[in-house]
Amino acid sequence: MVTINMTQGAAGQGGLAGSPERPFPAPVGAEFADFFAGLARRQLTVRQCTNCGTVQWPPRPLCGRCHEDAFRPFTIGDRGVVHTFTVCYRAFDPWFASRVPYAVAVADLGTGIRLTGSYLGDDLDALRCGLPVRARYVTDGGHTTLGWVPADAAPRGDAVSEREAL
Amino acid sequence: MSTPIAKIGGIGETEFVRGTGKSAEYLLIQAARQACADACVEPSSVDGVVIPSGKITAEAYVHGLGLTDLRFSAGNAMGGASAVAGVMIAAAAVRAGLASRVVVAAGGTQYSGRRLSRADGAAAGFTWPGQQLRTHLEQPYGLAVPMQWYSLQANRWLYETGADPAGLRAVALAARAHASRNPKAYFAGRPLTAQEYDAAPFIVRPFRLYDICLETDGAAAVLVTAASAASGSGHREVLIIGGGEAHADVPDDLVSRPDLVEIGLRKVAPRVLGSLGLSPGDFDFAQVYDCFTFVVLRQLEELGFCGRGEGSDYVLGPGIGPGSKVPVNTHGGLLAQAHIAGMNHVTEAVRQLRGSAGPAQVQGASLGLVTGYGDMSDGSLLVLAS
Repeated sequence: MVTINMTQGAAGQGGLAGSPERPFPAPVGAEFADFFAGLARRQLTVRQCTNCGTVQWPPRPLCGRCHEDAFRPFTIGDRGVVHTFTVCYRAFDPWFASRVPYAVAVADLGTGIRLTGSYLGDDLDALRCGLPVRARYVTDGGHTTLGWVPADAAPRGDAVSEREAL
Repeated sequence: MSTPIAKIGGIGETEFVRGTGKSAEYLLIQAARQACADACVEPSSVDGVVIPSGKITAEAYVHGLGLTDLRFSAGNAMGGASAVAGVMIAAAAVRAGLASRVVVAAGGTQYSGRRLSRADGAAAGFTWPGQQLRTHLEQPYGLAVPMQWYSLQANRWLYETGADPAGLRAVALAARAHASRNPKAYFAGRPLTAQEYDAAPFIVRPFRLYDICLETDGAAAVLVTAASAASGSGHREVLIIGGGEAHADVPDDLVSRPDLVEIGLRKVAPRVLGSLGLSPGDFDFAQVYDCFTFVVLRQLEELGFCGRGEGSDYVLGPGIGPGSKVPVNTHGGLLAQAHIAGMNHVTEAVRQLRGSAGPAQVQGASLGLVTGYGDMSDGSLLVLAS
């Protein structure tokens, strides 16, 4: 006998008519285009002022130092330390509603840059400020989002976390 | 005492409910009309309006109050800090002679209208500061509402300072203790026990259900007039003697704020209290914006009641409940009376200073402070005296 859990199937695929989709900016704003293209290549890409070299994130129309307005992509390393985090037991969006509890980590990448991503470690209780993490990129439905896993977590493919799909 | 900036001549409130067929515009105008009646002035003689958070238009006031010569209108957008900051805009306008009777009303249909707490994505329809950052960098990860942002601050605060998380519970219990004595509070006659608090589920760590404010339909208003204006209302005079607003560094992006725990009140509280020569202990009460228990702790710290990281020690020690040295949110606040965008904190402060706060009255109250807190930790402050 085959049983199909439509709720889980719909949520996981996001493809059935009427099923919720993960919130994603459409279209991606021009100032964020390099960042999202970088995620798809599994890289963290911020911005650098072409005039004075200041690295900028999040994107602003002008360089915070020299106030010029031209930038080039700037790739940074994708290991960091959890600066803060949260664990959500109630969702305020339909896609996340079937995924509670879910966790979010804000990683400090050095040079003042912090990036928010889904926490994809196996153990939500292990999530704490100061935890060393590395990026795990999740591509689903044509979009790539940023996840954080403990720096010593097994590489993807060895032991696939049940939280992987977040 | 320093020279008053202006005074609050009248206050008005609609009923506070969960479920209404009335519009925000209707509720705001009703509250404004009641503030005029309380001040014994004709609504049509109002010549200024301040509109916190864009909930109504100046034109709607022209019709709703029957205005014939609206000389001053202004709006602001600081989320929950807007109402208190709006009262200061009105005070400044009166002091400058731009208008003589200025209405400031706040509230709306936070329960029956677009309800922020719904799971259907209603929160995504709100516009926040730094909206592009919200859309691109937060909503894809399930960060959509203020309780989640402030939980990021709370977890960092707990980590950096080693603060006792039991302070959150103490704030929740104090709010319910105050509200239990207030017939107009949602939780009237219903105090909260520590066991009930602990048994309630986490909504977003470290916030449990009772760390989070109510959602309410209703409005509250004040009429701001010149400090020297004659009054026929017979109420004890309530003067605005100080106040202001402030914005934290990187005010539209909490995540990239260098000091992630910083709030706007850090800048405005010492500025205002210092200029008045006042210390926190001088106040007879404090109405502190309480969208979440945690933000009360942080504001008490930045107001100078205690040092950073000591908010829990303060509420667990000296305390903020009924009968404490400086009771906080004598009406029950947003946590336990109603969410009227913080204007209910202002109207309660005025009642306290008039000596008309009923069972919640702080005996002999003559000096009070009110804070607002909103968006990504914007802060506002009002010092009132009678």
